[in-house]
Amino acid sequence: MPGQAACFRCGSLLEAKAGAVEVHPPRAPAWKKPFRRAARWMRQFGAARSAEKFAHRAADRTAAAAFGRTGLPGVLHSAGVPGRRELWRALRDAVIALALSIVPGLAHALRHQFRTICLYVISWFVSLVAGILFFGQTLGAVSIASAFVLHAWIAMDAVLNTKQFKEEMTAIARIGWRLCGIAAFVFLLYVAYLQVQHVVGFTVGLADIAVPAHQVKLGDSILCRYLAADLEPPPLKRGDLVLVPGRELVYGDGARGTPRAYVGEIVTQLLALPGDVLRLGPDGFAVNGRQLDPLKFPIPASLHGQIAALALGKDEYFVTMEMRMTGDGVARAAEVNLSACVYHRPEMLARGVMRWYPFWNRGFLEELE
Amino acid sequence: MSRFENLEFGDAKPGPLKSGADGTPVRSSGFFLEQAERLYLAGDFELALRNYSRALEQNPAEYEGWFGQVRMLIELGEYEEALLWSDKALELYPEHPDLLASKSVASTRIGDLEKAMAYTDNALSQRGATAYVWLARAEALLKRGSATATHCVSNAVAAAGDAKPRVELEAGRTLLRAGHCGAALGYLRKAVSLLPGSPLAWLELGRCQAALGFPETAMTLSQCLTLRPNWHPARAALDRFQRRGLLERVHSFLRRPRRG
Repeated sequence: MPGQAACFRCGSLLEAKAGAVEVHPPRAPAWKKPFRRAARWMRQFGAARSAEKFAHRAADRTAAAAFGRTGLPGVLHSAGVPGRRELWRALRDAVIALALSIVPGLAHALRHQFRTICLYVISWFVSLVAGILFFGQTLGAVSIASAFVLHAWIAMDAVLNTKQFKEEMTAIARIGWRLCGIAAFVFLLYVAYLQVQHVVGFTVGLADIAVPAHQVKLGDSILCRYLAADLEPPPLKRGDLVLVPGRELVYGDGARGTPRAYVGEIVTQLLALPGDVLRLGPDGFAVNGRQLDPLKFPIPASLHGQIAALALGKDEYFVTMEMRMTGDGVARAAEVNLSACVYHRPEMLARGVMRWYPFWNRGFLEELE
Repeated sequence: MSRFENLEFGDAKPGPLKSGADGTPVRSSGFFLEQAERLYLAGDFELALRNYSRALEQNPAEYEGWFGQVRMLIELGEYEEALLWSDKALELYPEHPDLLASKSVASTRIGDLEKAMAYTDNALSQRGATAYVWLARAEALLKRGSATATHCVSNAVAAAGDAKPRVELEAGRTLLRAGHCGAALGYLRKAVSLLPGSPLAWLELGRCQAALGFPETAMTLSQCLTLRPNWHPARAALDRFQRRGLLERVHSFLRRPRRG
């Protein structure tokens, strides 16, 4: 049957397949090798922790002499006392587990034990997100603290929940180690948090002035960035919301004036810059002869209806804030009230970045000028 | 190619000769296998792999070629490819213990110890466990930190037969890779005495001695460089040994075997 590839009756092949046997093996591209090496290292850590590693432990002890464990180390090893190598391995694995646990659950994932810690990781993530969303509130502080504790728990679980530790330690010792470890880890996280907060430099302050143009009401929370957090802080501009220490004013006749929102650090609006000449009249503020829009630069209630003028010196800023006046402080001379709102540059702590709370009003603050 | 070239008319070509009429070797699969083996002992795994491929080009049924390719891929650190190629070779030689053992070695190096143990179990269950199978078993056990691995190494040497020099070398390399320098030293010394012309054996012995801080390291590595001048791994090992600091000296001193 010339020309036929197969027998038409039985289907037997009548000619060899054209394709030759491939004898050249596939090769790995050079760029893949470093990634593979890294992946192997990670996998190695997980594999080293696999349960079967210790399955032959008893057999290992009897064969200790084969590795040159003679004399006292061999006797100790046979008696079940961990040798230098075991201790070194345990310490190394603990350090690696701790380092990997900077990302919660990573050490468990590499050991294929993520399911055991899955709920903790989810809880940690939820706590962290809640902590960020409600930063500056009590709920945010509680959430961040919870995230710290959960993170510490996960890390300690990665370190202590290995067969090696289970074999070497009693249950009481494990609980003790876990609690001490969690306490130490939470402390480390808190220190790290403070460092991060210092580097990132955010805080939340309460607004002591309502600014319609910023959609900010009295008592709203404003997310502020510390000016000291930047090596070269951007210059302050008119209309910015700034965090300053609140002042309690005591006048000669016993009258007092305090910020309405909060006595501690308050968020105020920057109205005039060093060297500006400020005038307060019935139509609002005027700076250097230019009338300011009252929607952008509102007059605080304590200054309503007053007429006054103020020239700012070098390094002096004028901020507007609501003062709660007691006694007959309402009738105080306008100049006195104005001068109470003058701050120096070092007193400007932070600049407002976002409307933070109420939650539904959250948004970035825009420059007014 | 003529369409009648493969027809058999009774005047078949003569089989592969050891050498041609003028004394030059005939480039048969055997020739390339010898070349590959020589290159392997010289530490040139890339060229050895090529020679194994050439051997297979000559004769695709040459088992040594397939196995050699897999081994060289492992030596080159291409474990995924080695696994793939082992599977291909296993299609031709099903359940061959050496190929299963090579899969075990690749899996061990990747870090998949469960699979590695499964492959060595399978390889050992086949008839006629070779030295390579025992070495693969030893490597997997060493990775698991099991001291019983040394028994497997002994079994490998016992099963070596004619290939004893090479198995001694492989045993030493396996132990050295696992960090058991003291145990590896004896095997590597024996390997060097049996394979004095192998730069790879000298390099491994030099590395082992360097890890233990022996002063003869420099001489060993120099010998390696004499056999294969300017070989980068040997040069790097020698430089590293000569520039080692106090901590490394103390560490290597502590690693020295306390007996013998």
